[in-house]
Amino acid sequence: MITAVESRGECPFSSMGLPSMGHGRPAVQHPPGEGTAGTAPAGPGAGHRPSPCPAGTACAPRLPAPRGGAAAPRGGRAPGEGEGHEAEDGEAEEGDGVRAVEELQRDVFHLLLVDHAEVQAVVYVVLAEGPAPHARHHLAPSLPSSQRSCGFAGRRGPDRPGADKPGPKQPGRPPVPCPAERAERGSAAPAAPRGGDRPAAPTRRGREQRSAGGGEAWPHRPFRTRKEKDAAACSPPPSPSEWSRLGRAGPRGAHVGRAGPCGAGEVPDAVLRWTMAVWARQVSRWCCLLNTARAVEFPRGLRSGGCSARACRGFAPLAGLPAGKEVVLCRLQAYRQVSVGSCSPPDSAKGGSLSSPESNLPSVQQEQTKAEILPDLNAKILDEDWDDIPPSSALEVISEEEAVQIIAEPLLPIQSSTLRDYVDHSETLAKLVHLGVDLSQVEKRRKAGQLLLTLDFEKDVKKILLFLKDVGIEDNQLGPFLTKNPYILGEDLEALETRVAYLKSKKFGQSEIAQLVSRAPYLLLFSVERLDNRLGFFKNELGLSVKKTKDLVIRLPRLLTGKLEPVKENLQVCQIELGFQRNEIQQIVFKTPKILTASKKRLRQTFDYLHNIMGIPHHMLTRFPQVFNSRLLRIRERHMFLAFLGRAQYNPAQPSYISLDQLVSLPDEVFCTEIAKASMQDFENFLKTL
Amino acid sequence: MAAAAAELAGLFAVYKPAGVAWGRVREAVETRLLRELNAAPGRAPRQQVRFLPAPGGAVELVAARVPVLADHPLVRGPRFRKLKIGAGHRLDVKASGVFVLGIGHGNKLLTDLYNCHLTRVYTVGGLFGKATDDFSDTGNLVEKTTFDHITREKLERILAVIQGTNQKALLMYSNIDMKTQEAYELAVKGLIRPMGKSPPIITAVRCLQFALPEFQLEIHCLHETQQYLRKMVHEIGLELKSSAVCTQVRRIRDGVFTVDDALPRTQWNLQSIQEAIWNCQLKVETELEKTLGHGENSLLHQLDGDTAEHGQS
Repeated sequence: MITAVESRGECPFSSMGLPSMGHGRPAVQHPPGEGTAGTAPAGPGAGHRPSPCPAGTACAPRLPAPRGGAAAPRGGRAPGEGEGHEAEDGEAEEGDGVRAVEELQRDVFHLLLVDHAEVQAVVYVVLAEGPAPHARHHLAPSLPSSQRSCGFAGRRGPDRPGADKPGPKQPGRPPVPCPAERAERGSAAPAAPRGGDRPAAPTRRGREQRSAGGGEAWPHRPFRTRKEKDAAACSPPPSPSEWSRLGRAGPRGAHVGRAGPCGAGEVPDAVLRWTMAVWARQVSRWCCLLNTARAVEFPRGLRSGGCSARACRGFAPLAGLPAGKEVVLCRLQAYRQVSVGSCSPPDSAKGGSLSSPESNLPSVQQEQTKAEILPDLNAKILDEDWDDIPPSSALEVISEEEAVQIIAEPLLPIQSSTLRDYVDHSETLAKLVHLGVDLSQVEKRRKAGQLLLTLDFEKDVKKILLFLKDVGIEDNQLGPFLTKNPYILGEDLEALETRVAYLKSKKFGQSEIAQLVSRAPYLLLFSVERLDNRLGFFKNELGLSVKKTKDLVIRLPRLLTGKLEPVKENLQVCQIELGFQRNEIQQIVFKTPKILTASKKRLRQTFDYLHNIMGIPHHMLTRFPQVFNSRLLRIRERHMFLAFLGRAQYNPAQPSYISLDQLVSLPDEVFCTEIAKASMQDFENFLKTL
Repeated sequence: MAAAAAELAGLFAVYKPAGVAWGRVREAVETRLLRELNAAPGRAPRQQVRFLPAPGGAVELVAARVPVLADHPLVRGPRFRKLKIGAGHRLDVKASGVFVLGIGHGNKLLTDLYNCHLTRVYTVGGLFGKATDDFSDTGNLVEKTTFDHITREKLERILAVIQGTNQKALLMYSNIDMKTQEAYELAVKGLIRPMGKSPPIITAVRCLQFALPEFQLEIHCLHETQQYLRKMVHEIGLELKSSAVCTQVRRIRDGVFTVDDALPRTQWNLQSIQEAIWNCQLKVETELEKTLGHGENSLLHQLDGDTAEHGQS
């Protein structure tokens, strides 16, 4: 609360030289980025600064006041805990904490915050327990006790059976039933070395300030060795006693506690920070996954095994998890339905094929089930103790709607080299197949299959398809078009429209644009500058007028999407080696633009045969440039047949003249009967004598 | 269908045009066959039973039989992507002629045919008056000479000399003791030839046409390459105290396959190939049996069995 913060006066950490972000800022809400801003000590912390939880950003504005004040004091604490969590709990009193609980109960989004806050609280506890004096301060001191209490209180009910279990090394402190006390203890812990006395809150705070002010906290320690890191990860708070008493703060606390007994060694603060950061990151990711995980639609009780298995599988690639992640997952599964819609789709977080099909598959169903499930579970979860989720039973009674929505299918493969494994389960892919897209071709392209899996038909693909229809591509052409260019489905609609507008501004008609786009599918992926450059290039190289250049491009739209160097080289070949004049070249290119993309060797060979052996002069070749497009073998066979028959007459001035286009373009039967006046059998026999 | 692809097994010959590499010919045949095989309708997609939500918002599931999309042709791709087509004795780019190909199980017969060491017959065209570096008329000119003094008789004398020297090589490389009765019998039937590796051997040469400066030879040879034949033309020119280049090398027979059996480019399709395989099957098996003496399940045995039955009845 603002009041709380201000009453405290200057931020207790100012003396520690923490970065000023987060200091003294009136934290009404959790201004976005403050939490991460609080990731203070720039040195070691910088490396581990994880991305702010996307959920956190969304959650932040919702957080009620009790958390507001926290931002300032927290500087430097748990890097990576997004803003919501840091127990921003300003100096909230116990009463504030209770109020927060109630508010939380009404707001789904706070569940996420609650999670984060728990982590945070846990973090604090862990650090508090640490025997290493240096380790302790760095997260703890920033957190006023009341914050933590708020966090705890909000998160769990007053009763935490687990909390009362004394740890192995408990120094005999009496268990603390009341959350406030627990919180106090927790908050006291970081300040007090080895959890010594448990004075009242103010004293503790004073202690914190003292310790904070003492400058011992936040040593900017660089990362230790991996062994230490692992040790830290495995062995949480050096003295699990406090731990157990405080109850494992939430599921994460549980892990941490569990990890604890591994050996309370020294916990380097940087290592811990990293650990906590990792956890926080995990939490954020898991929360995101919750939204889109397939299990969301399942009734809470029923989904245990498969989804968690899948989640576990999915999380396996996420490195850096400390031990006890499995526990986290198991815990999380219970909360999977807390679908906080604000989380961004997991694709960005995970980026693997695991999330893609999963996110895509039940996307349609998720939306409809999310709404109905959320209100149910919202209250339920908050009332329950997180340590106490009963295992779901197959005999549990569920409603008809839930029963209908259960889909018990074998799991999809995480990775596959073909889209066949996913097409039956993906609405997008199925609809594309019905459109006529050849998925067997698409999956051979680079990353095209992955792109299709990540797209949602209703949201993304439909817009592009409608856009393409507006451009003028026919329905039956959409399939082949998308087969050749599936990447257009991932394009930005505004950019595409800009490009079409550019083409229109160059006075290409609607039907012409449709022709351009359908015959050169990659055209719309080119930026406006690139298109402009290419049109200018053709205009300059060929020296044609604007209108003729446009006609040329419409006849062969491939020119705009192909490489330009070979075009230049072909023009040089035509001019220098073949000996055509510039105006002849223009005529040839205008009639057969394909000559610009032909291979030079083939061009030379064909010309050599035509000019030197058949004896056809340049002007005849300019009149019939389509001979350059046909195969040399075909020209040779037909010419030799005509020569054998004595009909090889290509001079129009003389009788029984055979034009070159007839020579090459007619099919074999017609050629034999009309031109050569012989039978097909004779032609074949002749072929065998060559 | 898969049955069609399995049925397509055996040996056939195509006529390779000049100016094209033999690998391209093999790929062209494969592409055309694949196109035709994939054009045939495939299996219908499998059906699966799925429980879909009932229409109208009722909370129940309706069983529906829907086709499995993974079997859709657009998802599965073409049924046939490759065919096993093997090549027999190869022809280089400038040569043309009979080119034996094997499909499927016929590839095993290719090896057997190779081990038969049958002769091949070429039509070689030459041109007197110039010599080039690669012995063909498209190479770089090395020298030009006169050729008026050449007559057909002189040419044939040279050819006889060539044939004689090659005959000696033939006998030597065939590893047969000339003093035995078997050798005599084989020689009578004309079956003496090297049954292992040997340098190129010309078993017969004759002049088909002679019109200065052009001439045409027919060469029967073993273990040859087309470049060797071109070199031979060059040497004939040298022997005749002039020079010659080779304008055309065309194979008209490869073992049991002749030009009549070879399919021209216009007939490289499924049906013609199947007919060609069927037509050549008997010839091939006869020859294989004669030379290598194996093939119990061959057509020949079946025919023998039939005739025997016929004779008895």
